[in-house]
Amino acid sequence: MARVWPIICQFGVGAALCLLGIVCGVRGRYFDLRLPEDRRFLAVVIAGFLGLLALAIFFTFVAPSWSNGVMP
Amino acid sequence: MILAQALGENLDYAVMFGYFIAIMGFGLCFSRYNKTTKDYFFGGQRFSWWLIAFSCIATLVGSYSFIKYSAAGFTYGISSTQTYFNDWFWVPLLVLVWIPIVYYRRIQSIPEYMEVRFNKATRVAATVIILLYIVGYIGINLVTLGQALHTLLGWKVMTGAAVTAVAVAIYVYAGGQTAVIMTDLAQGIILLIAGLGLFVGGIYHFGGFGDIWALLPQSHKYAFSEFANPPEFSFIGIYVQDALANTGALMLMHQGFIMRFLSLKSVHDSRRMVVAWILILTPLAAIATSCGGWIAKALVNSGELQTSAGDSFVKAAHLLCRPGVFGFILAALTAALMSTADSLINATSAIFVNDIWRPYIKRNATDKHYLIVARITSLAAAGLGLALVPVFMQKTLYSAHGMFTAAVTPPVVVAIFLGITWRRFTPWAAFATVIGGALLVGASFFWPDALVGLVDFGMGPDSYDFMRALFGLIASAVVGVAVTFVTRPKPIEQIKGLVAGTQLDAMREYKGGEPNRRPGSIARVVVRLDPAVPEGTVMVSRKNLDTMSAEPGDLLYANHARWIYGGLRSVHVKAGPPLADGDEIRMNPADAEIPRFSEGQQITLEKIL
Repeated sequence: MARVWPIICQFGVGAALCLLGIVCGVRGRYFDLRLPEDRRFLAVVIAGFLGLLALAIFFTFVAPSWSNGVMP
Repeated sequence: MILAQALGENLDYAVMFGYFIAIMGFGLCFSRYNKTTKDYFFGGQRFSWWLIAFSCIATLVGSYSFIKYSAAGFTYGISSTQTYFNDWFWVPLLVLVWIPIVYYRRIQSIPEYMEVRFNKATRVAATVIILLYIVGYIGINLVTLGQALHTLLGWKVMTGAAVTAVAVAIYVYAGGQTAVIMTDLAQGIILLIAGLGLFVGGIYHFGGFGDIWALLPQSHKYAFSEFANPPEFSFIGIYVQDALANTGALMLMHQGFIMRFLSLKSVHDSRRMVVAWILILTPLAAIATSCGGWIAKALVNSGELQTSAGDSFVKAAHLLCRPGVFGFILAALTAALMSTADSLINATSAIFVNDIWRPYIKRNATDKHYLIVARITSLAAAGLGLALVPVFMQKTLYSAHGMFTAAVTPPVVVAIFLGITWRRFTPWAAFATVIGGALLVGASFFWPDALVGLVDFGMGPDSYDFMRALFGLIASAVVGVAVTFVTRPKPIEQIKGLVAGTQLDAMREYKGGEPNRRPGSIARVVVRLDPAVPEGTVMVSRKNLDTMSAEPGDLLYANHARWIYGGLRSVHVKAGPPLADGDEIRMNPADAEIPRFSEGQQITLEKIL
């Protein structure tokens, strides 16, 4: 769990921060999901978040096991 | 950085000198673009997203980054990159709330926001704190650079610091924010090429990345350190200090970055800018700054090198690079330091002019007067930073600035964070947050066990340097929230455009009318100079207005047709009454003079708002 808690903390608090920013944008309709460019930006935020999450998971559970330098 | 002797050779010295002269000359080229304080501080708000993204990464990778992160990479492995992967989570708050507020409300400095959102007392407190913070950082940057050059080239610390300070001060004096952005573009590219080049060189040396990976200890192969171990480099310690306090400070209270965001041609461009900066360039910078340590560790484990963590970057680079190439690596090290110092100098100038000179010393003077003051302040800021070099060479004072920074960063970040997200947050709560929070964090230096020990996750005193940030954030937030509930908030009418939920009000104020947010395309038009067209207004055909989805009265952006200029030759104008037909743009010669458009030149035109 010593390796799992960092991921939970980083991406749990990170998700809360992202959500706060999006809610603050949507309130007052500055961030208007009826506009294509705003929907696109939301998709980029989510994709960035998931990409970083995938990277963290990869370098926590997969890559460290390449101890002999041979990549499967 | 404890190498006993200089490593460089004559060719390396030549490359370094050539770099200094080239970057100074390059910066000086942009002096003609500064006619107003808006040009000097915000580059005329004309630049493209990619230029600002490179500029941000050059400022982010600052003093000592190569040495510090390579040392961490050598000791702890790839978890040294953690600090570079924390920024994305702040992006929605930055792009959807903070940048629209400062851009559309034409906020020129953080202290100015503190006054319009809260009160004058908070502005004064913020001005003092931020100026001490920035000027101290200029001094520390120069000290670290002087020490690096002493180690690498054998120069005296003061000589290296002075050479750098003079070079940076001259181009910032002449070229302002435009010079900062353009030189940072060059320096950002150089530091990425050098760092990533070293990484590729390491892979080539070992015959593949798998071989480097195999030579690293198992503990070096994880994305993060263990949650609360080791105390001096635990995940939670780095997370609270960097992801929360430092990144929050960088996004919300760093005047240099705020000025960079305000240099964008539009708020809309901030979206592309952050994606390029944080999602693409930052990970590359993480590898560029840390890889020296990973490669050095592999070289040590293969028996090819002996080094300490602090020397790992320089020794790995020296081993892998030929003379001349090593000089290029040293130039990149200098680039990282210079590109941070120039932003800080320009930021100091902005705060001094906007928050001290203009409101307290000479009100209602001409813009030309403030521009002269800004230029002189830039020189003075560099001089003051240089004067601090001998001071910060004493460890106690260096530590004192570190303590001061640790004490004031969380309170100011919390005050801005609550200020933009919570309408109820009151002016006196903000003042109490800044002052009370700083006092509480200050107290934690005298009673660390009693205060920081409360939130150290059982790691003990070795973790206090990191965990103090968490204590500061919690203490400041508690003070702010508590005082909010016993004091009166500002009426919503007075904080329109300054808090989340009112960004559209800020847009209306910026435009002077209802924003036009319909998606449009870029039109290509031919310049026709017409003195009869009012200054600040242009006339294009209805067909081109339709291409942009624009209406008369909308804000437009006329730009040189070549993207490579990055907005350097551009101007903001307002759409006037439509012409009957044709692909021409009629504009006043005074407006065409700013971007140096000539009669018959093809340019691009797009709607901003």
